[in-house]
Amino acid sequence: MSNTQDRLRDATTALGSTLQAADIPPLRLPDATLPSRAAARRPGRPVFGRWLVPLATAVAVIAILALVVAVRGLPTRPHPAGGAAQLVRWPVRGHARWTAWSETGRQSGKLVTDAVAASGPGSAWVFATDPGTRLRPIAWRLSGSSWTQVHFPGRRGEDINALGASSPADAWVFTSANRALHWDGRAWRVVSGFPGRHVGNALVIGPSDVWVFGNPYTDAGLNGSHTTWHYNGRAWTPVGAAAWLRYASSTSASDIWAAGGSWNAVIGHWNGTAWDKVSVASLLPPRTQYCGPLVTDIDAVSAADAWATGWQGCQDTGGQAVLLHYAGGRWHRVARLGAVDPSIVSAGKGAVLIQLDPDPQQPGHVKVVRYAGGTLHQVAVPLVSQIVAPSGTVLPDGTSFFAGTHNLGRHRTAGFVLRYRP
Amino acid sequence: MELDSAPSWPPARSGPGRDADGATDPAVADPAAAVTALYREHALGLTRLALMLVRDKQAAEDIVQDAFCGLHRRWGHVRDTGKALAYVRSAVVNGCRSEFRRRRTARDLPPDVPAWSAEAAVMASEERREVLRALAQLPARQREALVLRYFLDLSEAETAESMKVSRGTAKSAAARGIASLRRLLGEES
Repeated sequence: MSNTQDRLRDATTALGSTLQAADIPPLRLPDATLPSRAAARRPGRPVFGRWLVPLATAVAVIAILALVVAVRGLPTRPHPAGGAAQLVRWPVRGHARWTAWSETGRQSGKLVTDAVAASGPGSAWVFATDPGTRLRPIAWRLSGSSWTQVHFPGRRGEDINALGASSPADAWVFTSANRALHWDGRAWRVVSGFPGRHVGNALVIGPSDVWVFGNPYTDAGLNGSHTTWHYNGRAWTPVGAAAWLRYASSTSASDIWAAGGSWNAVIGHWNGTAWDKVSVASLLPPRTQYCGPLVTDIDAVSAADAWATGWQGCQDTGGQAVLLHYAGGRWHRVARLGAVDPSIVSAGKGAVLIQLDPDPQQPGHVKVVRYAGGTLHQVAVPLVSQIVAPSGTVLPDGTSFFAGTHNLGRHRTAGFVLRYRP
Repeated sequence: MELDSAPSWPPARSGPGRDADGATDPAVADPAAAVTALYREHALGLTRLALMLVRDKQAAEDIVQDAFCGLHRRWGHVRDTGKALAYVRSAVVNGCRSEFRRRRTARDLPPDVPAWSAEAAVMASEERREVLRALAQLPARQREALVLRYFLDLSEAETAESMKVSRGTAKSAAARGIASLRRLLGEES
């Protein structure tokens, strides 16, 4: 069998084929499942008793809604009756470092934000798609304080695998259709001749300096790619020394940090001429029969200063997470983050903001913590119930954007974008 | 249950319960027939899905039955009957999670792949057993993502919808699931 995905398909199909249509019992729909007012009545139950519980529930719901409105405030604009989703300012109180935007419009509650990246002071990109209809990717551009939807020549069902930007006139997108698209300040255009496939991440230093990292474990049904490509403005070149690296961050063309490796415990640094790689396996939680530790994210501050998160990756329990810091010429483990799945939201000199997914089996309860001065503090973040797209680019002043989904109640969610200014 | 009169699935809709000519949508008029038609078409696939997740044939059948009964109970609240399959698939995944919680720990699960008579020949390959054992060892979310993606061949968006998580989370769970599977199968160099 050629690869893991093929072996998985073969084994599950074989197991599935042991069940045939003849094995499936007929559907048993008890009469009780039919909504029936008569069935709801209980003999001898007082009439008032039937209404007491719904009445109390209604009062409690109204009280909670009033409390939520008092704390959070109402959206600044009413939802328009139709049209594509818009990102509008969402008032948040008591969060001085944060600015929030949330989607509204006809498609509100359906969009899932895929990628976000800052492209300069007061400018950024965010991409989203509708998981239900698999429409084309939608792009918004932030200019000042408002988001504008921009035409993006995406295909139906195409996913945004990676987004990066170096300026308001230079942004790149790499899609699940193995296409590269470039924003030149006026329009998105398809870049012909991109040889990569299964792109996982992209690092855009400038219009003629782009790094693209393959995703070895893509879920596209075939083995992914562990190739790293570099674009010099004219041609794409595979960089053998950076193969298997997956997550990357940079401060300049000669200061790039990247993490990955075939065992997911390697961190590399590009100094402009060569990649220098080191294993941090000894700093990660221990490898056991059921745990495969890995570096989950990395963020550069300077050539002598970088942060990374590690996770034990244990089955069922997930395992322990750690925070790593590069200082004094080597990597150190500086904090234990507990039983969480971590990733970095924003990093700066002496401080780092980390997203923690505390229970992989109960998604939607993400926490954000800040590590500074040797201690961890939980950070109050507006709107967050789940972050799905940490910033692809952090500005030199530490400003970063990230996107996710927040809960509107009644199983409704809405996409959001947050800006954090340290 | 009169199966021969069941409407085709999904019923066309041009308004809440009525077609373009104003006729009542048969699925709305007879929820039991509509749910039964959906069951006839998809019960096998969904039971196979549950089997992958809970590794227990009887529990898989019960979970699927419960999911369809739940759909029937809530039929009046289903706004878009065309999405009923997505709803019931999500209910099956959720039912499997509940089954895991009910059993308290993964150790309470059957130790190996099911061993009823029909599967003996098909599963004779040790390689397949090895893959299924490895799949069973993955965290629940990774296992769900892989089964939905590679067994049901769902798209990334459909997988996320079935798991009731964001697409990013589903993508990450599948990617990490494959990585873990590779490690467990000793494929990683």
